[in-house]
Amino acid sequence: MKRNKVMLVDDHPMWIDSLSEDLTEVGFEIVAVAKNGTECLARARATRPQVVVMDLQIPDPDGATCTEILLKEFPDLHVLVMSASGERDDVLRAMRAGAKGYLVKSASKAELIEGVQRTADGDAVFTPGLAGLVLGEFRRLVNVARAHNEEGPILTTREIEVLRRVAKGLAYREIAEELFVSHRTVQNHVQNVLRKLQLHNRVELTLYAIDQGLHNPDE
Amino acid sequence: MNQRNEAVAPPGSGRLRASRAWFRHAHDVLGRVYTVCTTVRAVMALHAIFLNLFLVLPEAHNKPGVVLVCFVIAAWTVLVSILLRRPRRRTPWVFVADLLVTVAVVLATPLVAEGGDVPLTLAAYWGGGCAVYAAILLSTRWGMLQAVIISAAYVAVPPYLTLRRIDMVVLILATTFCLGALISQFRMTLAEQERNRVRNASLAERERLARIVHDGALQVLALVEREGPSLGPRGMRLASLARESESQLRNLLQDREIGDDAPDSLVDLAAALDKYQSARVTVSTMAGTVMLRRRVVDEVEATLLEALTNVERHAGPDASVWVLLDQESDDEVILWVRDNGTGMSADAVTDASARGRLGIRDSIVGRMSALQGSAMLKSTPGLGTEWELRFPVDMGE
Repeated sequence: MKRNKVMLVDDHPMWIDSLSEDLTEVGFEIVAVAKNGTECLARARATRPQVVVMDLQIPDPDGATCTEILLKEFPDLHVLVMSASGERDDVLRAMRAGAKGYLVKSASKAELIEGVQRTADGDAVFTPGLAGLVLGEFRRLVNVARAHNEEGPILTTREIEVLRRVAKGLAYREIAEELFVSHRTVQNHVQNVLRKLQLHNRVELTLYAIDQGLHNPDE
Repeated sequence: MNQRNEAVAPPGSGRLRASRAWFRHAHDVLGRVYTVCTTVRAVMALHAIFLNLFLVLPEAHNKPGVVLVCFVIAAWTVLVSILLRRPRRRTPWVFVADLLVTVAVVLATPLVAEGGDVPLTLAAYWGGGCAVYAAILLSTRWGMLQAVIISAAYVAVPPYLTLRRIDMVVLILATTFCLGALISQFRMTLAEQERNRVRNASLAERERLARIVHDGALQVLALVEREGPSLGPRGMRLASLARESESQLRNLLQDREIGDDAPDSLVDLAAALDKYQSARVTVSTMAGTVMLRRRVVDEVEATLLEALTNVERHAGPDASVWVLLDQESDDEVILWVRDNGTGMSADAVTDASARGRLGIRDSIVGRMSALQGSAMLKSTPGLGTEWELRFPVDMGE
């Protein structure tokens, strides 16, 4: 079944209007809009969208926190994160919580629509900036794990090659050509990286819980 | 948590709050100083009473008088200590009363011990206490005024200007002045600190508000950029203007803290590279920091600038640039600068570098070798060029 029920979360009414017009044109159904975190959570529960386009800078609770809460409640939800001035830590927090991708608001209309479509299809939407952030995050995670004498979340050489090429601005098609693999394989590598990031977010949380003496053996 | 929310302090109220903080009961900074002074004064009182009872009393002609004076010293020491305990009771009147009692004790000396065989008068060292109290709890000026009056009293009773009386006068004046000056310096430092704290809090708040405003502006710019092209050629122009302003504003917001200017101070390379983000250049760095010596960061920036200039000159007008900062190990940094411009053939690369053209040898390769790093150029005609720059985190001086 194609996912086409979309919720837009943004505190800027002009953005919502313009985005919902564009998305309706290409066949999406906007089931809800929200201009702050409280509305976002309530309306997502009431309307059960399949895709959420989430602005990170919304009032109380912020977009990253909403992403965390929504994905915990509805693990099947596809979230595309957007921001105008993107605080890196917020972007990473949303990605770790399980968002499918990240776009800067200055992306062109075509890029935005494509981004929402790819999110709806379950593909990762990776911009060069996000790829750089994720590479750095994995190095940090490895260091955290090493401090606990654990095996860190390791990216395969191939995954690093792919991520670096994304960060260097190559399109998936170009990456596929350079590495002599199919477009789909590149897609899978990127997907895997995101999955690892989310998985190791949980590992890190557990390590943190053990550190803090909060670990609950029943869980 | 009972921490007061300083962040909401309206700008401009800093001075008022700072000075008022001094008189807050819970924050009576002088409390501890007061305790020390009171203890010392109590010891001095005991000392004076001991001297009076064991050395003066046996030879005094007015024995009840000596005992009365001892009682006054003891009672007044207790009373004045209680009076001065609360900051709001530290009014000038208490200090004046303290001075009068002390002067009375000093001047009572010839009345009870005729012949002036009391070297330091009946007040002994205790007499200096009132001036010290005034200097610490009121001001140095008040303290000095009291010290002068007390000193005058000390030399006004027989046997007048003896060596020990002069010693006593010098001691009172010097102690009062030094303690008074120290404490007012201490007060000023604390008030200054408090002012700074308030000022920093309101600056942080202003910055937070500015971020919100900037974020709103970014949203509008992004919207103009998106909707502009559908409004015809003038809309297109608006859109491209919006795009330029947007990247400038974004850079401003992402300008992370840059350290001081000393060549050996550590600065964040990631923050330094973020500055080069523009409509044409995409900079990808990690969320954390890569701390390097300022010298190294300057060199890397110069190298990047050289590479960007090359793109500008040779890659064609539509070329975009991507800059990626990454690390494979903790002691080495890798920087890629890639463009999707016209590129050049392998021969052209060797040729250019052999002849030192394109700034390649001197500027890029040279700078990297100076950092004990390496520079590699990859280029394919029609597919752009890519620099891979590697250099150590610490050059091992």
